[in-house]
Amino acid sequence: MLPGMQPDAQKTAPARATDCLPPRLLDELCLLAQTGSVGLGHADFEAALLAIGAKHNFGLAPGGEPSPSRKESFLRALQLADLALAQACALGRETAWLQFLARFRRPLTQAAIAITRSSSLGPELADSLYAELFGLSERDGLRRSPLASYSGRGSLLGWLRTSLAQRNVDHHRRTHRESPLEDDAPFAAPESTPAPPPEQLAALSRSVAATLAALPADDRFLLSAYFLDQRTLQQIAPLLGVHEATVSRKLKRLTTHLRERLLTCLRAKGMSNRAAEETLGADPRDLSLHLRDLLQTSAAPAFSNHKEEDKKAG
Amino acid sequence: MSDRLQPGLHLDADALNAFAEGALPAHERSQALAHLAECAYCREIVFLTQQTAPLAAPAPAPVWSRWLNSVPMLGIGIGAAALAGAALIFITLRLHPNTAPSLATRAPETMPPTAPAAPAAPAKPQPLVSQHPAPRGVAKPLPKLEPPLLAAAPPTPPRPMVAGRSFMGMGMGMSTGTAGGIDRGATVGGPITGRSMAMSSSQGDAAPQAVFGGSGQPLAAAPRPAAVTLGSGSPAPSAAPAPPPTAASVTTADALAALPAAAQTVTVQSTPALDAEPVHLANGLTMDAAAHKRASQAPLTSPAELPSKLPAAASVSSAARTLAADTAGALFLSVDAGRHWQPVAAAWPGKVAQLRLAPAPSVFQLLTTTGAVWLSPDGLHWQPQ
Repeated sequence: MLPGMQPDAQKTAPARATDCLPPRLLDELCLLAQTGSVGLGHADFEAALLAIGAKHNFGLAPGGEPSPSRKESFLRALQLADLALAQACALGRETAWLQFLARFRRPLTQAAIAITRSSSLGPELADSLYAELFGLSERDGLRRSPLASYSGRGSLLGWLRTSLAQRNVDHHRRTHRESPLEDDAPFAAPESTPAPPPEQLAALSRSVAATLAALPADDRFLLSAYFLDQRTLQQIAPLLGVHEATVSRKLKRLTTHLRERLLTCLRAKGMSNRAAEETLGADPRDLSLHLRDLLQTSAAPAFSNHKEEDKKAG
Repeated sequence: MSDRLQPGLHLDADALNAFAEGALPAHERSQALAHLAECAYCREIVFLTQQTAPLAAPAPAPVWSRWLNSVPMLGIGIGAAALAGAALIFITLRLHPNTAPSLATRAPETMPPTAPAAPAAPAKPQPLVSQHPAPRGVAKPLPKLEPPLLAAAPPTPPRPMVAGRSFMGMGMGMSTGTAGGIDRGATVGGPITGRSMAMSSSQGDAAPQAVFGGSGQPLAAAPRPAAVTLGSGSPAPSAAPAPPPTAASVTTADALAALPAAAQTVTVQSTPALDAEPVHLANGLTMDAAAHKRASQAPLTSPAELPSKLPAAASVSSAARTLAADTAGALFLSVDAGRHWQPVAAAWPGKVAQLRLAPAPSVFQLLTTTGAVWLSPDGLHWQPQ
């Protein structure tokens, strides 16, 4: 399971490392993080660093044994100042909250307005997140601030934006149960193309499923984002860390490769070349239809369903 | 992130943010991509976060880069056009080094306070006349004017368009209506230098005046006229005695560049029979309307028509006689208002640096590069001062 993925009911306690950081390294990290300016002690910061390192295995794959140098490089790569501020805020330090508000209040409101596309709903969304961050919610008699889950691997502002986006999507799913998020109108094959027999469609479905399952993760993400979410190359490229033109070329190669692989699979199932072509359809948009069928639904149900199921389970 | 906000097996805000910012290690990134490929919920959050990122941290540069990237070869085209424009301006400036900046580039607020307030009139490009003698006008030499101010250039024929030294002239189009304060005078476009010159006439001022500079605006810092002609008639009783020459032509940017910051005044007298109403130039210069009309109708002579084929660096006129010095320092004389030129033998050491009108009994005065001053009553015969 991905370290960042946690089931709702499964509350894992923060991993506590048995070892401690070298004093010199801790002092240096505290100095870099300016823990004193936010009212965070060395011990608190060290505990947070060790918990984060243990949770993510210091950047190594699960099972790997991090060396001291690896630990140090992992910790140095964190956004230490943001991490110290977030941890201090989670612990309720007033000076940290003053800094937090001074730094992030305006950007957060702007981001909320941009997310909601509403100058009235945006501040409301930002305020609701503030309340959540401040730890107004209690669990097991303790105030919990989501800021404690910030690991410092990305920027704190980016984390706040992501939290806003999460809340906005959750709100949208709560309040728009009747309206689907996506247009499920299937791509229609050209009318002139006759519908293949049911057995051929079943073979095609199996072939598509096998072909997509064999694709690398980034290729599947690209197909989903481009064909299902209708995202632009400009939106996809930064997430993949490549240029738009590279994404375009990759997409073209990928669709061509998929078509060839599907034809090969269909022929391997005993179809002739002509039957395989007819099954697949001459129009490559047919691939979208099958991708949508396979990738449409998330592995997890919708938020609202989860909430209800959680309540029932609780 | 609170699990309450994201139930189920989803990436939390920390992982999503680290993925969006490229901070995940390879194995986690691959896992995140695999999840994102299947989870529309997390994809939506990632894209929503990503599209709000520029708003939270505004960066104007990526807008240009994205715009340029969206149109193939557009950046190269813009760069090539900029280079071509720069080359055109450079070539034009090399061909016409003595052109003056445009008056059109002068903002209305730079008008000197002596200019009368009047409603603005639309600019009408008309042929600009640099100088010509006004038979009935008398120009009074400026007591405070530095020699370069009166160094006059010969008239220049119309040219289609000359790139200017000011930003308005650099292929950006020309404007002639920026002078403001024009009530009934003409705004004259300047084909001589490809620039324009705005002129206006005042009302109710019986004594025409030409005012250079202004009390509030250093003239040297403001765009200067390409050519200014001061035509004048016989001296008026109220004016100070005005010795010959009877007309003065002021031109060249270099001459005006030497203007002091303080205001200077030139009084130009005109006969009562002529239009007594002065014409206020946009740069604070006022001339009588009749002289302006005569100047507007006068033929033009290009410095390129000098026998040396070099542009004129300085020129000065008195009646029909015009003296011009080219950029090589050679002196030429025209007795027919610039239509024909004859070289003047250099009796002075060095080259001609400046030309100006001299007080009586001499008419012309030249300053050589060695610093010597020579005088001539006719422009042909010279004596050291």
